[in-house]
Amino acid sequence: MKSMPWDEDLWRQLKDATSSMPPFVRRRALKTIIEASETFAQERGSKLVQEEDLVKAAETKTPVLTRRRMLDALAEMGMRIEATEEEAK
Amino acid sequence: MKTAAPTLVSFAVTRECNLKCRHCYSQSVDSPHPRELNTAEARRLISQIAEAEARILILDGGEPLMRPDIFELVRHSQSVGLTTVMGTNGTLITAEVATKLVEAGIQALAISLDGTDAETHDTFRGVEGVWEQTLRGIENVRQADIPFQIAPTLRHGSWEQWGPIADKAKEWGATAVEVFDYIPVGRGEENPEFEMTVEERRAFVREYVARQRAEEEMVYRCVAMPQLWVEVEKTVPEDEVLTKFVRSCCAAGTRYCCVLYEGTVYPCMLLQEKAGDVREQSFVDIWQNSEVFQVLRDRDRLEGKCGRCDYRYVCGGARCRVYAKTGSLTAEDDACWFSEEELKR
Repeated sequence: MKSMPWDEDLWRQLKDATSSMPPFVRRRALKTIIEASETFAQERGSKLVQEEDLVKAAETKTPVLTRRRMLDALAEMGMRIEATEEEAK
Repeated sequence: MKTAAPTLVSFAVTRECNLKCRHCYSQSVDSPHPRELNTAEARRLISQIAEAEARILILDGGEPLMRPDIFELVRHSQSVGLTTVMGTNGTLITAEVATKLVEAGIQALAISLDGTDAETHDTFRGVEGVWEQTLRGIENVRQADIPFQIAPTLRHGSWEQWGPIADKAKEWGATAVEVFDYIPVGRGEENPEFEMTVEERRAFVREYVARQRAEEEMVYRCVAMPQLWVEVEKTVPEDEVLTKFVRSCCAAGTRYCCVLYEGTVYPCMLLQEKAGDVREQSFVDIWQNSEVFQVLRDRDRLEGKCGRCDYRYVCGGARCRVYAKTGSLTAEDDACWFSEEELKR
């Protein structure tokens, strides 16, 4: 699913955060969020996906139906999620 | 930080049940609890669960279909935006009941089945003839096109039946098989001989992982055995983990809680430490502020091997088993079979 390097801990946090979702929901959510995170990293000129890329992708690009669940799950794994759901829409 | 909303809340709508299951966590009997929440109170609770931004409400019991206003409660749950599912023994689901469930808006059912033969199922469920009734119920659910999953309980000496049960579930068109480990709580305390050994758990986990890897359609989930995820991470290629397996960490008080028929709130149906009472506080208040939930949400408070474990955020040990055996919410789960070295990530 990845097409560029990710911070190792960050990748694990993403896997942990999504692992309790039903597989059919998770596949779509992961595809979107991974692609968006990598785009944001490239836009920053970085060759490594880092937390700010993933948080931005989660807050703005996760499919609406799974957005709240994704943000909650990432926050549970210790990420700094600041946007409210309304702001993220 | 804002408290995360519960993903799942179960509401045991009644203590009344037509079976006498050997493991019943809610000590169900043939009559309702004298202080059972009435219809208005039950509706208010369901509204509060929706206000807490829960996504899924499980109506169970006892046997939820014993409650006369159950269809009204399903309708109300739907109307406040909750995905509404029901845990049932299936024996009361006639064609007419299945139709009424559809009309009320039920979205899925979990049906308990504990054997591939009548004797195994009926002995565990405490009433002769219920295996046949359950199979008829499943057939009526299929005819009504209600999505359903099959829920067996693993027991010492007969845990291997879960595989053939899963095969039947697939044949019947179930969407999932949700396997429960036997935890000696409620009436289950009287029958500790059903608890599996650590070796049986390890054998089950190996079989579970192999089955899920080979399965393309149906999802397996496992309740009260969170170490399963450690095995998955250690033995399954990452692509398969990401696309096939569902993590079943102990969600008690973190993403899940349970409300009993008389209003007591517990972290889990299997972890019966009182977190509050919906007759005294709102559900939202209990979910956000209960001290019991605060303890369970902080995995850094876990002790012993669980506290030192790198998997504590995705496993955390079966808090229900720990509590049943020690009375502690944070002690280590001594049923974990991994060595300290294996628990480094």
